Amino acid sequence: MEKIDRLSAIETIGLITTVMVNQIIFNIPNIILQSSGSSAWLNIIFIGIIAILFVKIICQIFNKFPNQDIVDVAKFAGGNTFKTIVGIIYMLFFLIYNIFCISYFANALLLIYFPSTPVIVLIMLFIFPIMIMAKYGLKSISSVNLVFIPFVLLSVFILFFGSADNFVFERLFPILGLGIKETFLYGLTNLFSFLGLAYLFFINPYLKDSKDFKKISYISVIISFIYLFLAIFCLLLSFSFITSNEQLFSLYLLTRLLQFGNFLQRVDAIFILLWIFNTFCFCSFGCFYIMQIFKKLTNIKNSKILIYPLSAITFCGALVFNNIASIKYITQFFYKYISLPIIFILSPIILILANLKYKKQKKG
Amino acid sequence: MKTFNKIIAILLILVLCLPFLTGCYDAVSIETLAYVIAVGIDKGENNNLKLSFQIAALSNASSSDGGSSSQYKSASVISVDCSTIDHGINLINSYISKKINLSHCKAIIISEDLAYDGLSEYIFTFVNNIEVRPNCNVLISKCTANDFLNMFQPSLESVSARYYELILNSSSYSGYIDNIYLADFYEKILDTTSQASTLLVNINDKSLHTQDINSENKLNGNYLAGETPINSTSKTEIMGLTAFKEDKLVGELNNLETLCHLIVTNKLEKGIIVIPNPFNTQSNISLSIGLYRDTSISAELVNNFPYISCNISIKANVTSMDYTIDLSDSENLKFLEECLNEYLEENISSYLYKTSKEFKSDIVGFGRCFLPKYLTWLDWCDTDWLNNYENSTFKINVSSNVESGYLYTKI
Repeated sequence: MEKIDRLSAIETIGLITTVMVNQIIFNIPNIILQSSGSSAWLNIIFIGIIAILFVKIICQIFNKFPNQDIVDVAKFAGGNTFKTIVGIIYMLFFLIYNIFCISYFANALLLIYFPSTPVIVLIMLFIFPIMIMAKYGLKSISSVNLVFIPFVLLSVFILFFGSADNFVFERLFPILGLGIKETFLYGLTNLFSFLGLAYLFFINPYLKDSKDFKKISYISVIISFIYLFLAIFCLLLSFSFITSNEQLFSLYLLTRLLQFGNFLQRVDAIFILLWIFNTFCFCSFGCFYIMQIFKKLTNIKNSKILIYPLSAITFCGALVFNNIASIKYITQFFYKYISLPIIFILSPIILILANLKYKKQKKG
Repeated sequence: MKTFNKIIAILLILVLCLPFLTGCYDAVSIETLAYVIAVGIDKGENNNLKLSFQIAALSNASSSDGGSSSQYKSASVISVDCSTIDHGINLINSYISKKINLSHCKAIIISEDLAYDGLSEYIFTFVNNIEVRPNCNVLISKCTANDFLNMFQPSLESVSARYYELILNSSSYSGYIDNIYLADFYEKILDTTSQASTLLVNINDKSLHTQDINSENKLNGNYLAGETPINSTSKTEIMGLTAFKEDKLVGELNNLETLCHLIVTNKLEKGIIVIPNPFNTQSNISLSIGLYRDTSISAELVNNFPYISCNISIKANVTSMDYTIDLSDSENLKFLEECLNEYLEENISSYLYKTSKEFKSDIVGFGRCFLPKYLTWLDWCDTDWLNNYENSTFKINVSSNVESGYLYTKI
C-alpha cells in the first residue's frame, strides 16, 4: 500500500503559490493587458475579488467533505461514471497544461539563450527533473518548492522595485481602458489567471489538518492576486506599447531593463534560472496529481510506476508544436475556453450537486 | 547488496551526466567573438544600407592565461553595403575571422539623411535582437555614421567602449545632452502621448565655427553638434538633441534648448547657464543651476486648444565673480533671481514654441497630462494629441533661488 504524504499549511501554501506565480511568468499578464488595455489593473482587482468570493464558496462546500478531493465529491454526487468522467477531464487538464508550460519555456529558452541547441534536448532537461521529483512523491516536491519559492517571490519584488525608475503613472489612464464592457464584462474571462484554483480542489486529502484548507485557500489566492497585480502594474507603467504589442515573454522584457549601477547589468539570466526551478516544481506537482487521479480511477496499488509513461506522453506532447507562436495561440484558446469552464463552471456544479445530495441525505 | 547496487547505479548516472556539464556542444569562447562597440547606419547606394561596425580589438592575451584580462588596444571600423542589418552582419561574419556580437554595443549611430526617411524598421530590428541591450544609446549623426566612426579617437580613454559610457554620463553635469536609450526611443515611437528624441552628433570642423558668442542671443553658444569652437585631437562631438515625429526626424535642438528640455522634463541634475550681468552691462554672469523641485505641469483644453502651464523651480549658485557682484546683499540676490527667471522663461518658452510650431513634435511628453482626463482609450485616440500639439499655448513660470557663490560672496 502506498504511503500518503501529508503536508503542512506552509508547504501547501508554497505549492499553490508556485502554480499561481507560474502563470505570471507564462505571459498571462500580456493576455490581460491586450484584452483590457490601461484598465488591466482595475480588471485584476475586479477578478481578484471574484476569485476570493469563489474561494469562500468552495471552502464552505468542501467543509462538508473533509479529506476528499473533487473526484471523491464527484463520486458522491453522481456515482462511479461521473467520477470517471470528472477524473479524466482533470487528468487531461493537468497534462495539457504541463505540456504547454514545458513546451513554451523550452522554446523560449531556445530563442533567447540556446539558438543552436536542439529543442528536444531542452525539453528532456525539463522532463528528467520533473520525473524524478514526481517519483519521490509530494513531500519531496513540496520540500524542493519551499527552497525556491521565496526566491521566486523575491524576484518579482525585485522586478517591481528595480523597474520603478521607468514608471509613468499616467499610463494607468484612461481608467476604463478599452471600455467598461471590456474591463468588467468581457474582462470576466480573465478569471483564467486564477487557474491555479484547480489545484486547490485536489489538495484536501494531503493536508495534515483538513481544517487548514480554508486558511490555505485564502492565503494562496491573496498572494497570487498580489503578485498578479504587481506584474500587471509593473508592465503597464514601464512600457507604453505593452497593450498593443505581442511579446514572447513580457516579464523577461522587464528583467532586461534592470540595471543596478554600472556593474550589475543583464541580470535576466538569474531570473530565468529561478523561473526554471519554479517550472520544475509546478510541473512535477501537476504530474503527481495526474498519477493520483489515475490511481483513484483504476484502483491500482502503486502510482509511482505511472511516472514513466506520463513523462513519455508529456515529452511527445511538448514536441508537437512547431514554434512558439503556435503554442501561444493554443494556450490562449486553452485558458479562455477550456480551463475557465472546467474550474469556474464544472467544478462549482459538481460541488453544488454534491452539497444538495448531502443535504437531502441528511434530511432523510 | 541492494545498497551497494544503488550506490553503483548513482555513481554511474553521475559519470554519464558529466559530459553534458562541460558545455562543449554549443560553447562559445570570447576569442571567437568580435565585440561591436558602435553600429553606424547610412544610406547606401541603390536604396541599400551602408552598415559600419566599430569593433573592439582585443590584445593577444588568451582565455587560458590565468588571471590576465584582455585590454582594448584600439577599435577598427568595418563597413558593408547591404539590404538589411542582419544581411550586413552575415556578410561581415563571413569576411572576418570572428563572429559579430552586439552584446556590448554602446551606441547606434544613424545618419541624418536616413533619419529624415524614417527609422522604425532599423530600431525595431535592434529591439528584437536578443544581444543588443535596451540601454544602448541611439545617436543621429549630421555627418555620415561611417565618417563619425572613422574619426572617432577618444583622447582621454584607452578603452573605446568606456568613452561612450562617460561622454553620455556628462548629461548629469553639463546639461547639454540627455541619456536616451534604445528602449526609450522605441517606446516613444509607439507612444500616443509623446514623440521620440535622440542625441545629436557630428564631426567638429573649423568651417562650422561661425557663432558670435558676444551677442546676447548667443551667450550660451547655441551650438548644434559640430559647431562648438573647440580645437582638439578628438574630432567627434556629441551635443544637442533631435526631435522626431513618429519615426522621422523633424528638427534639431542646440545646447541651450537641450538644457531647457532637461529642465522641463525633470532630468536636469546640474548645468551652467550664462546671463547678462545685471550689475555691469560689459560682462556676463555664469550660474550653476539645478532643479530645486520637480517641474509641475498642468494642462487643459481651452476650446479644444491645449493650454500648458509649467511651474519651474531652480536653485542656482553663482560661479563667476568680479568686483561688481556683491552676493552678500539680499537685494542683489533678489535682482539676480529676477534676471535669471526672465532669461529662463524666455528661452524655455522659445524652446517649447519651437517644438510646437516648427517641429510639431511633443518630445517633452505633455500628452501624459491629458490622459487622466479621458475615460476610455478610444476617447483619447479621438483627440489625436500628436497632431493637436501644434495648437498648444504655453505659460512658463520660473522661480529661482540663487543661494550664493561658492567660496566668496564679494570681492
